Amino acid sequence: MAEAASRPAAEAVITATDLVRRFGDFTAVDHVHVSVAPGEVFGLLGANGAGKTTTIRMLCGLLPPTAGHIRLAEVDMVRHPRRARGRLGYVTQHFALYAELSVRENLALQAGLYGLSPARARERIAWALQHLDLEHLADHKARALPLGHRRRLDLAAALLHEPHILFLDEPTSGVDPLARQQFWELIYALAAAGIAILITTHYMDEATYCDRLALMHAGRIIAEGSPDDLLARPLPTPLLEVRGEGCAACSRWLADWPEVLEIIPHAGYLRLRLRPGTDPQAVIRRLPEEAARRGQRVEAAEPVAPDLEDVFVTLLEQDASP
Amino acid sequence: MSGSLVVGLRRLGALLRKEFLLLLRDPRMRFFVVVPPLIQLIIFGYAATFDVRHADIGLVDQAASRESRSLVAAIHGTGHCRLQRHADMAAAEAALARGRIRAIVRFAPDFDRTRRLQIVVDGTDSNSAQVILGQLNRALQQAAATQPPRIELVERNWFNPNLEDRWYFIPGIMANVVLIATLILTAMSVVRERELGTLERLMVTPLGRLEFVIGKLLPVALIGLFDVLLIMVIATLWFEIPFRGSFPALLVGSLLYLLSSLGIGLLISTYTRTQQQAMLLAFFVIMPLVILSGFAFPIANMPRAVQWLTWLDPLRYYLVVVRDLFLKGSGLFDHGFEYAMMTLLGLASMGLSMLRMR
Repeated sequence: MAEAASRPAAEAVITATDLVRRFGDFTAVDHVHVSVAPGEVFGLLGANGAGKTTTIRMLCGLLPPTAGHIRLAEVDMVRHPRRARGRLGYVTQHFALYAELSVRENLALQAGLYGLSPARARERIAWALQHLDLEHLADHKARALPLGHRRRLDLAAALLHEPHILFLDEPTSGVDPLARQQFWELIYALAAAGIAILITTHYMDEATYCDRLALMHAGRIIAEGSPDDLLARPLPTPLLEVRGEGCAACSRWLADWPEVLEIIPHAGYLRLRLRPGTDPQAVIRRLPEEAARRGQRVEAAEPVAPDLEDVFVTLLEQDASP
Repeated sequence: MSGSLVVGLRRLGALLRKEFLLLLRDPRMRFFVVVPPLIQLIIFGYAATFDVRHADIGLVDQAASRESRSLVAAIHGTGHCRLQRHADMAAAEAALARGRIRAIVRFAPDFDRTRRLQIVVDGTDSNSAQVILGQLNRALQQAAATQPPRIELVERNWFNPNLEDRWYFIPGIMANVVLIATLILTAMSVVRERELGTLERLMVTPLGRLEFVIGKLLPVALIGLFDVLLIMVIATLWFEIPFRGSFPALLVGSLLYLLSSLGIGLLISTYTRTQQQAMLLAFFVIMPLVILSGFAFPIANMPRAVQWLTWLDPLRYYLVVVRDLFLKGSGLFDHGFEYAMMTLLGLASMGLSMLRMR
């Protein structure tokens, strides 16, 4: 049910068609299509084991696909992997540079590995140090950097050779919110410079920063589109927000109501997902009475718009029970 | 294309620079390159010998005659053993059973009449038993020879006039130490990168397989050569073993030997995911390589099928080269066969590793 890419494939710099990867009997990636245009931030979402990392590893040429085609910036990745690799940058999930080398030495190594001339390498390293705010740490060993800076070093190392394409595999996991914010500002700046960016993430708020999203489940892309498109889909499961003093206690008896599919507790309020076909107004009318009967107070109960997480949970449920 | 060659060399240079920086910065690595080879050489240099010196011999002299005393003096005079007197055989046998002595020499009360004496040797260590028996036999025969022999044998042991076991063993220890150090270093240096995830990062760059392999192996090869020179200096200066052969031949032989030991290390790295696995597998491989090499047990004494197996052991060929270089004084062109076999094994293991690396 993947929707057609919202941009024409002709201008895409990442084009993967019918990508399949099997490990023995297990199909990790099942006929996946990906196309990303220059300057676009494309988010790949899904639980652990959904096939995100396997997809990225194939796109980077680390893992040969069982079937399918990959073109990166006009180069066939399967046939000319070394040429294609020169056009991409890859930031792995875990820090993958050398802890015992300094920031500058790590960058010099990467510049050399991409075959930059000494003069060009100096120029690019200076640019990266300045641009990613690592100048004051240039002679520190990578081991001594805080995690957020290490991620920035990782990113700097992937940018020295001016790639057309950047793959970021959960680049912000474990990073504090401020550093994540800064990281995303960098990503936007890079996209604005025309780099195609494919990013995987666990964080739903980050998903909304992407221009386009694809949700992976069990090796397949089960939904694709801009965050607004995905949010605009009518949800079969109405959502309610319930506020009230001590309303957390309500969840005990609410769980017994047949209309309630799921209760998501938040600080100071509850989010209720109702079963498909339920009339939310009926539930809203019954709620305060029921609470009052038990000596609890519901101040407000109202229908709310879904967020991306609600959309994805629904999509995953639909995918699991066709 | 010269342009792509320049770029290739740039990549290789960057990789080599990183390897050396990491190697020099890691205190464990610096330690691993120098200390274990030295300790192995010193310990094996003293321990690896079949010579029997200062064996404790029990003496039961029930004859106590002039003749028995003169034979005892002859045994004592060899300087190879320390004599312990026991009152009777029961006491001597108990000492032998406890391992306090390794042989018993007994003169029975009627020795002067029968002219027969008894020697009992502890056969648990069969090799030492034979050596002790030989020493005692020679001492007693010489002392008992009253008439001048009709034929005088003049013995000469070529290349090792005093038949020093150490002269035979230390060149072999050099070969072993270099094998252990370089094979483990190679396997570990690749597997460590796999474990840390840095290997994957290298593999997304345009770095080629051959460039990667050269960048990984060249530093280890230099360490191997350094170990060869270090051990040679100690062997000649400390253990005073002559080095009679050509130095260029040592370099060529060592380089070809390193080709195969690095190749095997690389092959091990393609079969393992963690440093622990690599270490274990390396030991499983090193043991048979040492035993089949002829380092301690002559290949000619092995069953035919096992002898065929030794053809696959690069250590076997290098042992011939270093022993000949030290003791026989061979030259650069005396070991074509050994050079060829080591090259063959080296290229085969490297080729196989490259195929397995994807």
